[in-house]
Amino acid sequence: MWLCMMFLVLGIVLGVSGKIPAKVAEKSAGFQFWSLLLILFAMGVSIGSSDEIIEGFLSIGLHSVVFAAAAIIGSLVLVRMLKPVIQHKREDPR
Amino acid sequence: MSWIILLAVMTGTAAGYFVLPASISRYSGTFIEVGVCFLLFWVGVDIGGSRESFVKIRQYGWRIFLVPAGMAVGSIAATVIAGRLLGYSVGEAGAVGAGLGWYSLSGVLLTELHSVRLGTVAFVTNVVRELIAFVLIPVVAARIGHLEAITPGGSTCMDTTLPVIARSTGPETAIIAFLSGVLLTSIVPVLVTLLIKLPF
Repeated sequence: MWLCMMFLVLGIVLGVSGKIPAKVAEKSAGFQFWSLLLILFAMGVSIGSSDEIIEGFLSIGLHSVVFAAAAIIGSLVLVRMLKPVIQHKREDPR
Repeated sequence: MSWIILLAVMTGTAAGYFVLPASISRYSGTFIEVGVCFLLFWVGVDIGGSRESFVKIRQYGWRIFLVPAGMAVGSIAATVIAGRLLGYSVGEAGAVGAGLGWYSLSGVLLTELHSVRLGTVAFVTNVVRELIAFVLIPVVAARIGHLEAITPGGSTCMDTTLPVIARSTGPETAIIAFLSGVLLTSIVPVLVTLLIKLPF
């Protein structure tokens, strides 16, 4: 996935430099939407064709769903509690 | 958005299970990698074109690190509590939570360091976490808050779930998500290895 990170950085550099024509940049949201759907479909194909995931899910699926839900809730609740500190605006010294 | 995401994944899963032969489905990993590269390039163009986001991010200062720290501590603490109820030790449950969505690595590490069973639990848990994240991010962004929308993805918010975060929130949150994802990805191997060695 480090190759993908390089594409992200390349996009940021080109975005900052303004070298992407406005007409092309306007289409960015559309490109992102359709490619995301294709990627999600391919992720589904990976899951559906993997005996490891399907058999694993059938044997320990309940535990995994409980663990995954707990991890998400724990992350969300703690960041929510920290939000006032995270978004605390620095006082202007002047 | 959530429904479209769910539908795309479910259609893919059904196609992979029932329809597509292995000769085609084995290329799905390559397809995903190429697709994510293309997608992240355009996310980058959006972020780069929004200079005010960088100015806003600088105002956060060191506090920005509280986002990944909160995600890691929250995940591990909650999985330890859930794990105790399911009969796992603190170390086992904490190590599963410390995978933070990085299923391939946490699955392999725990298979080697502990057992095939716990490795499978970590693997499937983190696959499920990523899937729930895809569906939940747009809902959390709309109903709870943008900063909170980063949290479901864990370490995946630097790559696979980043486009959904960028689309559901904006360039400012996307930058925080990316930084959080990079930091979390770098500490997953350390956390999993340390937690599984806990004697309780």
